[in-house]
Amino acid sequence: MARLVDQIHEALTAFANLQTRPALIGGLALAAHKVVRATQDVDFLVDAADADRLHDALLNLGYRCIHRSEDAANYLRGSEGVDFLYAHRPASLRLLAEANERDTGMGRLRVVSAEGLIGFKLQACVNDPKRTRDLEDIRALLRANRGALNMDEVKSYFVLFKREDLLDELLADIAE
Amino acid sequence: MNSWPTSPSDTQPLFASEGGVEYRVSDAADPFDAWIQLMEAVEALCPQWPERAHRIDGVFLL
Repeated sequence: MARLVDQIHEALTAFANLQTRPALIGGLALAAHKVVRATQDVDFLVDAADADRLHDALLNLGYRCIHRSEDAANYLRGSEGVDFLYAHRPASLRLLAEANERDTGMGRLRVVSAEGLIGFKLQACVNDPKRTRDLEDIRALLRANRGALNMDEVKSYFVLFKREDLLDELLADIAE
Repeated sequence: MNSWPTSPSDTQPLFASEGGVEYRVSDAADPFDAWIQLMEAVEALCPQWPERAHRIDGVFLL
């Protein structure tokens, strides 16, 4: 069993004990939307109101906090990491509330929608253009879920980040 | 014995054929199971992971 599976299972148990219900985002969440790639990133979207309790729980599990702001936090335990985005704006609170639940080999997981995942990947791209992996993830999500996405919602994220031109490029790419 | 590649197909990388490029799984398969199997292979090949230094920072609008 991959050790990431044990790590995620442990995190899910901690979430259940706290009675908080984060949703998976990031590279692993791609799997819920037909895109599977290797990743050691474990990323969750969590209600910002639960951030302090979650912080204490993670420290009790042996993680150390390497960064924390009102929007995000990074925790490390040896080579294992877990990252959180805090939902406190309407868009992220809606995406958290609407996250679908599914049974996996790691336990019962909530996962943000493909549209929301594209939005978060776009946010990551804008914040760090050198991370080309996020752009490739968006392209893969658009390709794998073509015809099934709410394109009005997808477009709204590109408008929010003033990158409508990028969406046009991506859609042209996958049409080829 | 000559162990050099003798045909174009022999020159294809073995484990890098997916090369970090995503692939689409069939609708019938459980993609999380596919991910778990993939990561088992990755961990077998790379038991010691590089140190993580990524910080989530920047402008947040969502």
